[in-house]
Amino acid sequence: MIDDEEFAEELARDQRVEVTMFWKGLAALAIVITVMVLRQLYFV
Amino acid sequence: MGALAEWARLAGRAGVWTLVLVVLLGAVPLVAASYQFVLIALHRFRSHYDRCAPNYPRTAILIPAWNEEAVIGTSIDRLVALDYPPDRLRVYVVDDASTDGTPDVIGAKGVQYPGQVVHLRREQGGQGKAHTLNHGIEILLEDDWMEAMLIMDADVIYEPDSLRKMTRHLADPDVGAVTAYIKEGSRPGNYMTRFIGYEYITAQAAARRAQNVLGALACLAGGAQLHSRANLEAVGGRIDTSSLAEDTFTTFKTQLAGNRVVFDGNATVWAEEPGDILGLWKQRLRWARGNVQVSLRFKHLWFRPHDEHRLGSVSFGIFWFCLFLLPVFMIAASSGLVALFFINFPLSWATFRLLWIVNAISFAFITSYSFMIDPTTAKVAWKEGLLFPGLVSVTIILYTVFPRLFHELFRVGSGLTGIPLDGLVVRSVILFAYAWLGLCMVVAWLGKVVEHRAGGRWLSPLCVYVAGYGPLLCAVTFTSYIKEARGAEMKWDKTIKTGKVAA
Repeated sequence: MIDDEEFAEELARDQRVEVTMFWKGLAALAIVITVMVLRQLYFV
Repeated sequence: MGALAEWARLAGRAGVWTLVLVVLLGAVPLVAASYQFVLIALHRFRSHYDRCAPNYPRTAILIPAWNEEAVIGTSIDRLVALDYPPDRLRVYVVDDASTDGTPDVIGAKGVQYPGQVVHLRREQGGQGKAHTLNHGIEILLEDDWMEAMLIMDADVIYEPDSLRKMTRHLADPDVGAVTAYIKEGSRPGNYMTRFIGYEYITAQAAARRAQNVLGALACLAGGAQLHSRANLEAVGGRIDTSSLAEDTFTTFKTQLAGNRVVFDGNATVWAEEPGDILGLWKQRLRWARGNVQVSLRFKHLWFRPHDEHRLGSVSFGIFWFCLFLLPVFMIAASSGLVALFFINFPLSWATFRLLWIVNAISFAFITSYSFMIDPTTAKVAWKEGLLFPGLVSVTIILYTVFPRLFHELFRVGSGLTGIPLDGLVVRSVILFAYAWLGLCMVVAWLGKVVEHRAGGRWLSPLCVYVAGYGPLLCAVTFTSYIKEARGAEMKWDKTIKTGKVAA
């Protein structure tokens, strides 16, 4: 079993995963914008 | 006469623009799905982690089991070995009159883990999962040892830390129930389990995080639902037996009782899912019919915001009905395009392009985000993720985004094959593309029809890859409307488990 300190570390780790969700969302948005810009520039 | 002609002209124009609107409504489900994914990015601000604390309630794990000889032993071994205080954990297996070696396996595990594994036998079984669960819940509520109950399926394998990651949320008395991220765990997998693996990123890891943000959860996964004792008592101490979606009913009742439901995406469990279309069809038809029943039973909730719960929020209603009515949106959009093709071709083409450009943007956003949410699953199922809407739809998406590239390809193809790119060929292809949103469900359904016939082993997966796994689920949903409208018998088709999960 984990002690209270390890519990806090695990919780902090899981919270960091949720923080990355924000950046992953931004990255996905950046991918879409890049594709659409390339489309407008070269493929229409 | 002139006035009549003017009225007819106006009515015609109104009809045409109504068709355009119907077609564009076809983009609403994907736009709603994109909105759902945007909410995930906000999960860091609205997750429940701030209110977690070390918490190890005396937990009874309740497993309904009917002929689970192949999986139940391993499941019990893994549960007893969970990283959780052993004196605060008991496993209760409700054996629903199994006719295989299930009772013997449970009995042996009872001897191996004295006081930790309990065999509850029902001599009259076959009434379905909810009845089986109620048998166990009734017994467990009779004494006061149990402080929390984990309801799961016999084949589900829990990661060692998953239970304690769930119980930490129950430290907050406002929380009534917690669910975990169920991942597809069949090894070796096949094309179907990879599609399901990818689907679970979108439907669980993503959608349930978004629902956490909204404060309303659609469903506690049947294989991983942890309830506080207070919550079980608040929902009446029993599971609804009148529907095929007993877990969704419990989820709604929990929230209607004023208790919060939380999804923890970092608590992972593994389940064996169907490996063929027929197995998937039976499982999902049960779920889809259950969703029809939930939609009707809770009709007083939809789009009616309430102080006590968030089930009536507009966003939650949009998410629910976009999924529930997806086949209707698709058929309507497709029919509208075909009608416009004959009435006003240039307008139909412009509408088609607009519909698919919105679909393309949504698809790119959702797919790339999903891959990043669970890269481990994406590594295995990236092809199925990219082909989730089907090869034909992905081709239409690519054409919409890169039309000039395709025109060049068509020109080269025409030169090589000698097929002229004249009006008839082009218009036939366009008409096919217009009809595809409706047709894809039929082709996906054909995959089920041919699965156990000659050539089905390769033809069936081909149908799913070409028509799409998403359209296959839509075909199931459409069938559920018909079954419910006809009042078809509510049959509990158990998903066959073979013990292939390797977590």
